Amino acid sequence: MAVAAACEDYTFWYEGTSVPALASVTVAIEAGTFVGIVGRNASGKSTLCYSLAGLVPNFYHGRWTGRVLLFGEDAADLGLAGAVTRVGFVFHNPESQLSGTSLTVREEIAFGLGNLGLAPSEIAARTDETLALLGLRDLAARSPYALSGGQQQLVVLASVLAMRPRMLVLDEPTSELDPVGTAEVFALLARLKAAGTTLVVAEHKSALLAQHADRLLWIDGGRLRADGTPAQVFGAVGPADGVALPAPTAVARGLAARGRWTGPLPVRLEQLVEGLPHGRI
Amino acid sequence: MASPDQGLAAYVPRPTWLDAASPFTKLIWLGCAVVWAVAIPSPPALAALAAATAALAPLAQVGRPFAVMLWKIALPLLVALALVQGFLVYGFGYALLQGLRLLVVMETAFLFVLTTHPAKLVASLLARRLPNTVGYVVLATLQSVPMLQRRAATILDAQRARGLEVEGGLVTRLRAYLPLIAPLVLSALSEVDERALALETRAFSVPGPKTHLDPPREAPSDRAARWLLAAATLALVPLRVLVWR
Repeated sequence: MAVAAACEDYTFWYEGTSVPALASVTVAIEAGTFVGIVGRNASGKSTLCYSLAGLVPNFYHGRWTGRVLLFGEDAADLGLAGAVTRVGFVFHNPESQLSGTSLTVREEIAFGLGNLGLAPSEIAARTDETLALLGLRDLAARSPYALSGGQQQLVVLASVLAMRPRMLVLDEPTSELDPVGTAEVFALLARLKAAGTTLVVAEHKSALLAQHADRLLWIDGGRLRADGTPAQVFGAVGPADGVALPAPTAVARGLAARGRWTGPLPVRLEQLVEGLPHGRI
Repeated sequence: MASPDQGLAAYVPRPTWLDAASPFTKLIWLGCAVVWAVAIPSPPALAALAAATAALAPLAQVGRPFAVMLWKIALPLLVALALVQGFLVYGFGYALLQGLRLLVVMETAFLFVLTTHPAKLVASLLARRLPNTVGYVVLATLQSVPMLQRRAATILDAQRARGLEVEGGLVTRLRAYLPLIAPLVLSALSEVDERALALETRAFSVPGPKTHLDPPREAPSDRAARWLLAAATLALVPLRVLVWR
């Protein structure tokens, strides 16, 4: 499988700091996969997201050793313009990601396309296509500031997707959303994954990652501590490591401690139910 | 003012000639209004200009929001001006003249913001080689006031939930607004980095010409209107020399 992005023994220090935010990280993100990143706050999740989006070192400056490759090119050589046209990036606060220049959702989605200098007809076509793809046509004429947090985050995602990035990196995209908004965002991510989009998502909501991710990375102290399937990673870490376990994993661990669960730990509810004798605890 | 769904701007689309006019033409009009207000020394002439400007509001289908802006913004300023300059400093005649000048400029500015799509204004300026960064600053500044109002309301609600008294006399209300300043300013500053990041991820700094979903269009009437505005401004020179000496 082709590699979309890769860190090669990458260490990064932010300007004015002596402790690296990332230390000797080596990881490859394969095209078309959904990779989740878990870890406690300030563990380096965001810096890894910035690195895989080319925002480190092109927007957040500092010094580094090793390198980050985006579609085979060194992110540092691509510059900011090269990075943002290849990788889309979405972060936690939906309102602060709105351009502040648009009166309607349709204009908001068109904002990035205008910055790319596309012809107005191309902007209109891509905007309308993205509105349809994301099921946002009913919101097209609304003010982005009058929407719920979940809807705003969908608009932000739409505005990034309209630029047709080859990979999407999301840094805690649902941390400021209610359960309905969270579900809307992850439903969209599931559709993007099904369409073959490469996704990297840092998230604390482990149940959602367990449900959607092909692979998880656990970051702690700036180091990549675990890399594997959700079952492998959630089997190796826990709340003491700053990672909330999905409920089925936590239940199965409790049962295992009492000698009532054998075999691999489940990460989804159906796996838990299947593993229980007669489907009951 | 803006409808709840409008969110961030005073502008609401309306099918009128003033709405359809080029934002650049309306900006020239606003500039001319400032020149006229400063150059005309006659209160009756300024009063006629203010009345003519106000008469445009219903024609542009913005009579109600225009009246609200006059009431909430212009009136307090004019009253303050009359009190300070009229009674305390220069006398009633001078206060009347300055008040009418201010009124002409504010009326034109109100009509401008009520009938001009902010993004189209910037697109129009970008088409005249205004740098993208300057255009964004102009637009973000236009949009920032209602955004700060929304945030201030949120902070005020939070303060009220913790027992802050905001109802009552002028002194009580003024005192209630003091605890608002620090969180408002700090939260706005802390968001600067996020906003810059968000803009960059939307290709703001990608080199090359910028385009727009709905590029500004210039009608022949726009060019004619600008010539008329220029002629009216130039006509003030002989009037100033011969009539208003």
